[in-house]
Order: sequence, then structure tokens, then C-alpha cells
Amino acid sequence: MFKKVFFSSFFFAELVQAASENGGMPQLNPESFSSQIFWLIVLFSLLFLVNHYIFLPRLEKVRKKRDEIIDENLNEAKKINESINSLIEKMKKDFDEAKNQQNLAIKDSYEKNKVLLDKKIHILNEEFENKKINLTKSVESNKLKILQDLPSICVKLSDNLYEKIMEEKIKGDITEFNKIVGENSNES
Amino acid sequence: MASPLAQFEIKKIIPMEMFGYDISFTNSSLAMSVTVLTILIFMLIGLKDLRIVPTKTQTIIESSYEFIADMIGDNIGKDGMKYFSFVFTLFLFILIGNLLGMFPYSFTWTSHIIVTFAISFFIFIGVTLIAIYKHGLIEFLKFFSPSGVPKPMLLLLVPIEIISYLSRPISLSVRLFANMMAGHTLLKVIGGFVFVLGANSFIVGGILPLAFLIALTGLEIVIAFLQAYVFAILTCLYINDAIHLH
Repeated sequence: MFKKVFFSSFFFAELVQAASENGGMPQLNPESFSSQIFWLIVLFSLLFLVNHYIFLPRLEKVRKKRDEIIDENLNEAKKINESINSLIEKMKKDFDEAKNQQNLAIKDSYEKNKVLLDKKIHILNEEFENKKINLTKSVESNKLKILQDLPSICVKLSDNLYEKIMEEKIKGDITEFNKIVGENSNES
Repeated sequence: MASPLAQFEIKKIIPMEMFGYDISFTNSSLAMSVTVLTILIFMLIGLKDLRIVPTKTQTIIESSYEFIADMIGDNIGKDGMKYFSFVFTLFLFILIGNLLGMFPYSFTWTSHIIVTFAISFFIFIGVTLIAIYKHGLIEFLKFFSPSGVPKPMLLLLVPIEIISYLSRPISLSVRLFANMMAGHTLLKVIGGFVFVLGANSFIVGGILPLAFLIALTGLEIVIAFLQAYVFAILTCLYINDAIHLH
């Protein structure tokens, strides 16, 4: 296989020489072939070696480093995100708990207050009843007292009236008054 | 006026000889040295103080790194990263060689068949050796007989496969050489038009070919990139064949 290539290139070179001798393409002039191949090998090898051993490893290193930094930052961001999510969840939980506690506290205080209120109302009612009874009693006693005092006051009043009119002091008799009032009251 | 092919002439700058062979430093060698120097200086500037957040030059180098890494990843796979340095150097070498050749009065060493042929021949030999080293000679020879083909057909197919395999370095080298030579010859011819027509018609006649020349220069720059890309990608495909022997 290599022989074939080798021979074919020779064949090619001969054709080429014939062409270049006629003043054709300078590319086909075999005189310069050896120098061109030599410098190609030298310069390409130089470039390849410098690239392979100096430039590309450095470039790869920095790219690796960059990827690492990006990965690190991504991981950190993920961690932060997770912690934020857990915090949000915790907050929600706390919030729900607080809500429940609040509801319970409202219910509790409502019930407590209701009992308290009922008690107070009961006490007030009792007091009111007592006062009512007392008041009725005092009204009754006052009424009796007034009824007892009424004849003497009336006699005094009539004595005074008589004195004013007749300019003479008298002393009325309660029993007489009682008789009259009793008669009148009987008549009426 | 000089022939459009005169631009490809090799002139000796420093005559040298080794073991009876002429190894003179020529204008082609000079252009090649400038290519290598350009790449080295560019790499040196870009990778002088490497940063996590890259500088502009570092970004360019890293994007070409990624470009070649993707090419190898797509065409060869992970095993191909061993040959990264080679493909990377080859791509940059040809690309910068092509692009520097676009400067007026410079020399395009990629337009010389012997250079492109030497590169592709080395690749051919290297790829064949990799295949034999990885799979053994017998497995490698099986590469030329497609599986599942009836035996009589093999008489026809094996020579075709062998010829297609052997013609790889030729097609690879001729593609680059012919593209570069044709492009530069065309530019030279159109440039001649600009001069001749302009001189004979008080500049006016030169305007149209000049516009054409400018457009063609743009096209040539694209071709310069494209040919370097094609060369690199075909190298990847050959390496892939050697590693995976379908």
C-alpha cells in the first residue's frame, strides 16, 4: 500500500516536472519540495510542541478552575436555596401553629369571659332583687308611718289654721279627729 | 505584466543545504514562519496572565478551543480529545496561513501542493498507524471489506475501498491547494483587469472590476476559513475512522 503511494507520488513528480519546465505552475517545480517539506516539518512541529506542552495545558487548567468555581458557586447557591426553602417551610409551620394557638386562646378566653359574665349577671340580678325587696319594704314601712303620723299632723295643721284665723290657741283632740275622719271615711 | 502564477514562485532568501538536500529558507518558509510567529504571539498575549474572567484575546483563543473541542466531540467522541492539540494546531496553522496570504504582497504557502500534500500524507500515515496500533493489522484490513456484502461483490468493492482510502491524502491536499491557488490566481487576474481597464479608460473602467475584486476578497477570506475548517474536520473524520473502524 505504501509502495503504491510512493510510486504514484514519483509518477506524479515526473508529470509535474514536465509541466513546470514549460513555464507552468511554480507549485509543480520539484526543486523547492525538499526545502518546503523541511520547513513545514520544523515549523509545524515547533508550533505543535509549544501548543501541546505550554499553551494548551495552561488553558485547560484555567478552564478547569473556572468550571470548578462555577460548580462551587452553583452548589453554594443550591445550598442557600435549600436553606431558604426550609426557612420558609419553618416559617409557614410556625405561622400555622401561631394561628392555631391564637384560635385556641380566643376560644378559651371567650369561654372564660362567658362564665365570668354569667356570674356577674347572676350577682347583679340577685342584688337587684334584694334591692327591690328592700325598697318595697321601706315603702311599706314609710306608708304605715305616714298613715300613723297623718292624724296628728292634720290636727296640728288645723290648730295652726284655727290660730291664724281666730287668733286663739286651741288644742285639738286626736280621738275626735279620728272619729270625724272615721265617720267621713265611712260615709265615702 | 507578470503572469498570475508568478505570485506562487518560490524565491530563496537564505540558501541552505543538508545531507545533499536543499533546505533553503525561502519566501514560503518566511510566510510559514510568520504564520507560526503570529499564532505564538497571539497565544502569548492571550494566555499571558490567564484569568477566570477572560480578556478579549483570551476569549478568542478559548472560543477557538471550544470550536475545535466541539468538532472533535461531535466527530470522534471523548476518545478523540487525545488528538486535540494536533487538530487545534493544524486548524490554526492552516487558518492563519490562509488569512495571512490574503495580505497584498504576502505569500500563501497553503497554495503549494507539496505543503498540503505533506500535511495530509503525514495525517494519512498517522491515522493508518493509529488504526493498526488500536485494532491490529487483520482488523484494519477488514476495514476494506464492508460487512454483509456477497462474496462476488467483494472483488469489486475491496479495490474501490482501497482506492478511496489511498486517495484520501490526495483529495485532502488537492482540495486546500486548488482552492487557495484558484482564489489567488483569480484575484490576480481581476486585479490585472482593474489596472488595464483603468489605465485605458481614465480610471472609470477600473471601478467595476475593483468592486468585483473587493467582493472576491471577501469571498476568499470566507474560503480561507472554510478550507481550514474542512481540513480540520476531515482530519477528525479520518481519526474517527481509525479509532472506531466501522
